Amino acid sequence: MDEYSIPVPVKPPAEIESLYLPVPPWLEEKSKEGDELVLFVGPQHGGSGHMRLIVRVHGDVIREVIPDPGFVHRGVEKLAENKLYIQNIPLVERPAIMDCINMSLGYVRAIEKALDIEVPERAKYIRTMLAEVCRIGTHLYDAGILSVFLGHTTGFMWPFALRELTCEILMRVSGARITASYVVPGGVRRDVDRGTLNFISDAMTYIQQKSKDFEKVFIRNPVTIARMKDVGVLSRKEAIKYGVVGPFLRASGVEYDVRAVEPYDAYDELTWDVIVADDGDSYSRFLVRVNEIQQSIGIVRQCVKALKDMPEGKIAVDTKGKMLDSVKGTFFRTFGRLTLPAGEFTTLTEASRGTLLYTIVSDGKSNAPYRLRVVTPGWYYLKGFMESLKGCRLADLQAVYGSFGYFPPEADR
Amino acid sequence: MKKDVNAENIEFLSSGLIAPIKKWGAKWSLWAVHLVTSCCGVELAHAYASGYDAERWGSLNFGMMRQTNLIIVEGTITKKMARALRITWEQMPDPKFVILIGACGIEGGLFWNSYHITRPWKIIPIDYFVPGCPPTPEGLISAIRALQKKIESGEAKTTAKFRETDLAKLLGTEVGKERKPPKPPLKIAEKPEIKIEPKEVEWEFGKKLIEELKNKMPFAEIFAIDINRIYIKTESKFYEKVAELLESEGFDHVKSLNVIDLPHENKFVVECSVSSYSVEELMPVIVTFSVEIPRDKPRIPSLIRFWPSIDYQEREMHDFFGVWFEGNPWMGNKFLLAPEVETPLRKDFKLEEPSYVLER
Amino acid sequence: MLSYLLEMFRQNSVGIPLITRKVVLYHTANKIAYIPPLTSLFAKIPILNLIVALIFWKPFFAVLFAPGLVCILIAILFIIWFERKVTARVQWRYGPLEVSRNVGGIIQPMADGMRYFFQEVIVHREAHKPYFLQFPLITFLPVLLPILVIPAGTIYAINTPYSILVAIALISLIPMIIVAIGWASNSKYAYVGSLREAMMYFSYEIVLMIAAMSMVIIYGSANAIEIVKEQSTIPGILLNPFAALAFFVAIAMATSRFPFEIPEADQEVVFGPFIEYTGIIFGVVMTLAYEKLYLLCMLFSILFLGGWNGPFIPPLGDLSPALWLFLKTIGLMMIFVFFRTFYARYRLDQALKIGWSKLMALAMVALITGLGLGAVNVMGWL
Repeated sequence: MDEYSIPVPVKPPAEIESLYLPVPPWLEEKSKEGDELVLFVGPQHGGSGHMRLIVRVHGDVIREVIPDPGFVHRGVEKLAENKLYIQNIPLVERPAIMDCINMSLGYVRAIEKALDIEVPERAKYIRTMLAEVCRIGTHLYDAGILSVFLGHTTGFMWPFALRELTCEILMRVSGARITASYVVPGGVRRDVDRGTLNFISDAMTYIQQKSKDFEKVFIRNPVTIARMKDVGVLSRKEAIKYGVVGPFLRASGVEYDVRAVEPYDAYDELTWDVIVADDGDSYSRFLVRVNEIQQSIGIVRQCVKALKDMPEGKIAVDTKGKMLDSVKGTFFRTFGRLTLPAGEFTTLTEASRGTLLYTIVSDGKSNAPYRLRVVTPGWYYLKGFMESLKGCRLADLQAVYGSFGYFPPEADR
Repeated sequence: MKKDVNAENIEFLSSGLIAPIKKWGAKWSLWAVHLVTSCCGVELAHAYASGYDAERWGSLNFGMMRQTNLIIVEGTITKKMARALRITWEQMPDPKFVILIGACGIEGGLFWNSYHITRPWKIIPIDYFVPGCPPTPEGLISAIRALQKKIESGEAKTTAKFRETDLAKLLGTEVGKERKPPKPPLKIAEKPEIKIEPKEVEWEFGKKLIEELKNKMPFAEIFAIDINRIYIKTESKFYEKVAELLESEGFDHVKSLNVIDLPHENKFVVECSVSSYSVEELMPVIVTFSVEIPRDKPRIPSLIRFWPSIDYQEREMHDFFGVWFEGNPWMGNKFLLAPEVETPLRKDFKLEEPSYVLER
Repeated sequence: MLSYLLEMFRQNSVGIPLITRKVVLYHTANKIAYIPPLTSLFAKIPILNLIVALIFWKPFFAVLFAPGLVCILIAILFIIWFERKVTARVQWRYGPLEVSRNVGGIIQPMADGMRYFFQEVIVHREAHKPYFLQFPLITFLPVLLPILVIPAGTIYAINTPYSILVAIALISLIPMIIVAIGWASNSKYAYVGSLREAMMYFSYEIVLMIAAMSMVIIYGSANAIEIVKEQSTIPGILLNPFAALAFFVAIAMATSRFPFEIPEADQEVVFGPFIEYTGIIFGVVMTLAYEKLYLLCMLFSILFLGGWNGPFIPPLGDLSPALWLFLKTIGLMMIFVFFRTFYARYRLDQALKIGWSKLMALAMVALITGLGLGAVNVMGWL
């Protein structure tokens, strides 16, 4: 019997077909041969961010995941070549705006390295403190996204409610909720007063208390553990091989943290632990970050205490090493049309999601970088993320995705 | 846009006997589709989370475009995402609405002259723009409220009132009078040279390491450029050899693969920075080795067999500069970029330049 | 002919004193003023009286009003609002509010329903079009047919000794239709979703049946009216808690409640079988799980919670037991939707493992308990 048809009045526009994103042509043939289903996850998908994952599934088991990033590639590296050095500070923090202080810190430190200037003590502590506040915020963000990927909506809402506090801290310090652009070459944009320091310390206490509730409802939830334990395992050897970074590398048993290995700012004067786990599965990747929140709270407290003991003022230096109370006035005159000495300057920063690398190549004549190479943590661990998915079940895709806290704008730059 | 789809949607809602019910339903049930397009998604998440709770107004973030009626475009739309946005919009059932948040979506914001972005309002009709970089959650919620009012009353009203000023009065000049535009502050050298030179640093371990490396690679020029940074200059035929030696030395992952374009010297400088996770002393050390390859025939062997972690960076550099890494299976395909963008990071790919019109 | 029908309807009609009673305005020694009951107003008009009698005819009333369609509608509207509201309250926020501030946004689901009702219905090119449109409507059959055999006190359509069994058999047709919907959608995610639905179906259905059977053995009858009568002293949940637990978990699996919200997983397969549905037909298929939840909760309260047993409210007459059943059902549904706030979802293989191992073992324990209690004729003792 022929299937009868009913006319559908709306015809799709002809140009729609040309809009489909290119799929490697060999993929369809390969999947037919291998008795596979090819699923396209994203960019419009409840469990995917701004990227597309091409998943080859055999039965319920993932054979391979082919990433298709670049949906948020905005060409930061090229744009940076056409802007003044200090104009690039807001630019480089846009890829991961919840992690703004860490993102701009790496770039600014590369400039400072080229100019060979030493930042005032107070600025160092402020930078460290805010970098850790951003780290707490980002880890909470990732925990929220992970929860919602597992279908746990309360686990999404609570960390986001706590994130409001980190936004509030940034707002009180810099004036912006999320995109602070606070770190400038030579120091920070403005001083932090005593009231704000008290608020930061209170906020840390609150986050610490409330994260206990979160622990009960999500972290120790049997369903969460069942979903993430032994899922997406990256052994120590594999993690090194695929160049995974940050908490995800430490979850595989490698004790590598840029803050400890190559300390910058005030990190060598503070006491904290590098959190390491051995399992390398999704759950330990998550737990490492949960524990890092506690460490970061400790670091913030130490910074607050140190800042309270320090005299206020003196938060920046100019190119010649002269101390400044404020970046108003001479600062922009000296730094505005800055020209760096020729050479190559590379800094490593421990951003929330891992190592962040900036390489400034300067020709010594232009007042814009000749080439700015940015490698963000997301871009580093994308390979490891894809490899860890092999052999998982289809439903694990979201658990592993969330456990890596993959944030496409950061990876794509 | 040939037809004003939004006007049609409003027309549909406000026509017929049961118009009040239709309008009421659409007004209190603006479900936003989960299409995260850019970094403003952070503030969108805040708007729907406990802090601001946009669900109070009946708006809910939902999975699929088929079951929703609102797209919140979050900031930048890249050329690649534009297709997805258009498809999502086409597949959404009428009546549907679009709110755009973020400065990037309006005129590009910080990324206005980027090679990979486009303007969302050229792709789909938009009801409300929310400026800001990123806008606050309150901004987004007030856009939702404004959209509700628009559905109810059928007319679009802006929520912000701008003060009008007489420019001539403000600047003390007549507008329209020709003036010489000021010089842009940007100063880019005509014939730049990239000089990477040794630097004297106090670094005992580095001196030892450099000696060791020099013994192994007599063909290369090895020096320190800073503490913990070693630079190796060599010829392109030794590229793989250096990689092999460094890999045996304990450098187990790639930190960065960089290509520097020098058009006036007709060459690319390929720099590969490696470091180690497994050897503790080498952890802070980054060894960069660079080779020069001709710009018109940019071919170089892939290092994927030494370091699998270099894979995506090679694909990226292939996208950016058109350098062909022989041995990487992905070569010839686009990875990060939309199909129409070709080798954007070469120096002869010019971006639109900012123009300064008036000076105070 | 008509009078015969009228007589048939009237003989078996629902007695609600609140409506059929006359309203006394004032009453003195020798004068009485009253408004005659509405039903008797219509009783003299030829066709209307037939319609009114039909409405109050028990089988018709059961399917259309209580515990049928109208009750389902009220339950769904309430439970969707409750689900969103309670989730929001746990998550430190308000949830739906501004649509009707005074009553906490309780009409929010109606607004959503209206929006769906007037939205465009898209039938995509790849769909098997007739089936794609027909299946959502066919779902009403397995949802409403069980109502015929599930009594609410004295309101019932068919009084049969197999009522529980027939009801469970009809309810278990619903997943078939969901699978068929997924097939008709002809999309990759719908395919994965229907496979998940089919897998889940096998893992919970047997447990559900065994748990119900073990109770039937204890009561010695599958007739819902007798089962409830037996529970007038002690509710079934105390007699056989294992069966109650197994039935409870099986309901959660059957209606894709958390932590078993696997076939429709929003973040994994984006509503699985229902991915391509738009407008009002999505509204129909989306409520399917809630309808199923309503039916199964009703069965649970009949089997374990003493059904419509409760203090009799005289003005409501026949509606009183129906009200008690409805309240128990709603209470159970509230517990099920509350799980959303503190559970993530299991993976498919984990859910299957739970279904086939732990839950099956529990069901077996329940069956043995049921057999034991049935053998000693515990109901006779009580």
